Amino acid sequence: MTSPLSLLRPPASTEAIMFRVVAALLPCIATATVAFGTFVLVQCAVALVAGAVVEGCARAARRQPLRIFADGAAPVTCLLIALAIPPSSPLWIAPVAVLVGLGLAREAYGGMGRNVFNPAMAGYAAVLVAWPHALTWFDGQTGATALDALRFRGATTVDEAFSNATFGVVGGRGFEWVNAAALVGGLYLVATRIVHWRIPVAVLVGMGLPALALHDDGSSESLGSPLFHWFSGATMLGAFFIATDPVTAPRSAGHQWLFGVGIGAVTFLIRATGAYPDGLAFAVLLGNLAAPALDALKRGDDGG
Amino acid sequence: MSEPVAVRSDALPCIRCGRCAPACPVALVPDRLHEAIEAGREDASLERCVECRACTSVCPSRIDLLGEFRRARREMFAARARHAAADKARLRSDARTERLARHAASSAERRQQRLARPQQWDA
Repeated sequence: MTSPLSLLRPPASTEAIMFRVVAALLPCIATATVAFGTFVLVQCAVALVAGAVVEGCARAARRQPLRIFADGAAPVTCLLIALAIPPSSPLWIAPVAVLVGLGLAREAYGGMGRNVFNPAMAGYAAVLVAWPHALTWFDGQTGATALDALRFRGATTVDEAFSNATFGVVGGRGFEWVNAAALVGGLYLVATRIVHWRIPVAVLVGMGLPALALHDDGSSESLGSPLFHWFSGATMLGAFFIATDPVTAPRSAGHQWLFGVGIGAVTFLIRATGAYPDGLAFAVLLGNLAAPALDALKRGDDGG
Repeated sequence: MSEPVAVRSDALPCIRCGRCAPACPVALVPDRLHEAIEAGREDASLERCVECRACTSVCPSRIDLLGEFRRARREMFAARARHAAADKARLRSDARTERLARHAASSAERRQQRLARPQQWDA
């Protein structure tokens, strides 16, 4: 890098792309630390150490030079996992998620570029399903996130529910700022052509349209406004940093629209009717599941 | 868009970033061709490649696409030339076999006719 302005130009190498993504995650990490405490940083550190170990073992097993984190892709996965799990989770959760995500979902499939599933989401989903009791968000007062609180608010209207301390201005208290920071980082990625706007817009539309249709002006039956959903849970992180992973997303523009809208809609569906507070991880994994089939359709063959 | 990056021997895997396809002047999809070559498959669209190096220069993983495509094209054309030569040889061999068979048949027929004519030693 010769000047700070070079940070505004599109990056030329894969490593530069990955490090820019890490940089774009920093506002989100900082905001999460302010909102939820320094344990966020502890989880990030633990996840990164675990990632270094997993990557080192994988390279050693392939008899390649170690060069831990040299391509920059593993730190992205580790940080996304650290941001997905509640900061108060036991410290062994993040390493297990990293082991499944990097070790199984990425390295066992052939390493970077060969994975079918988003490693961060695969790791997170694995620990979420195996140890749901260890991954409850700890809000102190209500012990629930805004998504939970809205879903199980009984017969109150949205405005009445928003007077609860779990809620902030438009979304969950704390979460809305984390989402805003993720949005800022995401816009930087779009501006520097690292990420195309197609998938993030598709995810937000896929989530926003059902929310708009069912919002119902904030009555006691409402499932939450588009703005509420966009700034709750891991929406912005998912839309800009997770669903946009080029390795696990479909190749063609049309399929990417379908992919993004599907992820947004399924996330909304799980939030509205499913058992988990935020369905983003499962929605992304379903999208990853469909992507190779969509690619094969475009190629005109039966896969391979 | 971004400056060309020198190709290195420690190229990273393809991350499917999609920068190569818009760069190609003959509308090929270099990342799919790269995948096919890695899988050992032949892709007939390689014959359209003009070896301009545009895809290689924009690849952020510094994959030597041009080198791969050149090698694959050489092999593909060599294989086709071999097949064409083999086909031609087979056609010529078939024609020769047929010619010999015809010649043998006509010789036998002429011999029959010669023997059927009245000979000097016949009375």
